[in-house]
Amino acid sequence: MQRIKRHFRLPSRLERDLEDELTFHIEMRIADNLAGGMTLEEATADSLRRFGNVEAVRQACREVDNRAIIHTARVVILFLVFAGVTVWTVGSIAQLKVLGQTILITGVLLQLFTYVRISTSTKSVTVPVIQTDDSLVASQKTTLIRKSPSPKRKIESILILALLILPLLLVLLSMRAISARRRQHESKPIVRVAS
Amino acid sequence: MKKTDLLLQGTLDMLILKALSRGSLHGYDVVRWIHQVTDDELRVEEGSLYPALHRLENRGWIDAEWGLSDNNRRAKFYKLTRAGRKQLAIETSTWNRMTVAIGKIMQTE
Repeated sequence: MQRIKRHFRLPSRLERDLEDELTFHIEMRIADNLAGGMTLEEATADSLRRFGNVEAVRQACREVDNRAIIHTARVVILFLVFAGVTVWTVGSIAQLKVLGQTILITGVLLQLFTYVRISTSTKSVTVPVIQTDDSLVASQKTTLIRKSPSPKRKIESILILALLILPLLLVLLSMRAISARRRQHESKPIVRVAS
Repeated sequence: MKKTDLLLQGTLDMLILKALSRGSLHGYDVVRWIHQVTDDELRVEEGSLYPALHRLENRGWIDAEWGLSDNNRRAKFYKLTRAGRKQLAIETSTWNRMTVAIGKIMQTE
């Protein structure tokens, strides 16, 4: 259940959680080092050296998360497209046809979302498991500063909102149109042609 | 990725599962536990733990939940799922068989 819930979190939330998780680790190591008698400078440098390349870790985590989300989305898209087309074509009444179209549109929006997701996750990053490089430490101090979400992440958030709102709006509008047409039809006088 | 790295990557997953078999832990605790148990002999790059944790979570072997650490800070705690326990049993048995097999090779003259 936790896993399914995670896939429905907004990208900005996932990003914040990842940032909190990594920062927590680095700061805990700094605190332990300070308790062990190091100066703040030494404690920070040691913590960053032990952690490795922060940006590479961040990217690798995003890759893993994105892959899982895209995998789930693909299964849902397939289901939505099949269900949408079936209901649309087989549905005998107008309401069912609208439902079919709505399901199909939801599938298309979700597909768009996965495209953006794939383009957001840049090239694959390998995180070395063995600890070595000291030279990384100095360059990484700046990467610890929290980053604001990229424009692509914002597009993702907008797409998720569209996924939630658009189908609902479409159903409401279509239902209104159908009931208006029905009222119009009912108010028409029945003309009997006398032979 | 070099072959030695691949071997270590798989081993890291197993070590994480083993650490979490003791209960709910956050990433830093997992690293601390590995260092304590091995008397700092086995030093993994600490950051490499996180992609592994996320991967194991997505495979359904561990679950994650946000909570408060000992020093009252918001931290992400991981715990083994039932599938994770099964996976740990499989990996432990594979590991034991492998070390026996490698041991036999190394004892030859």
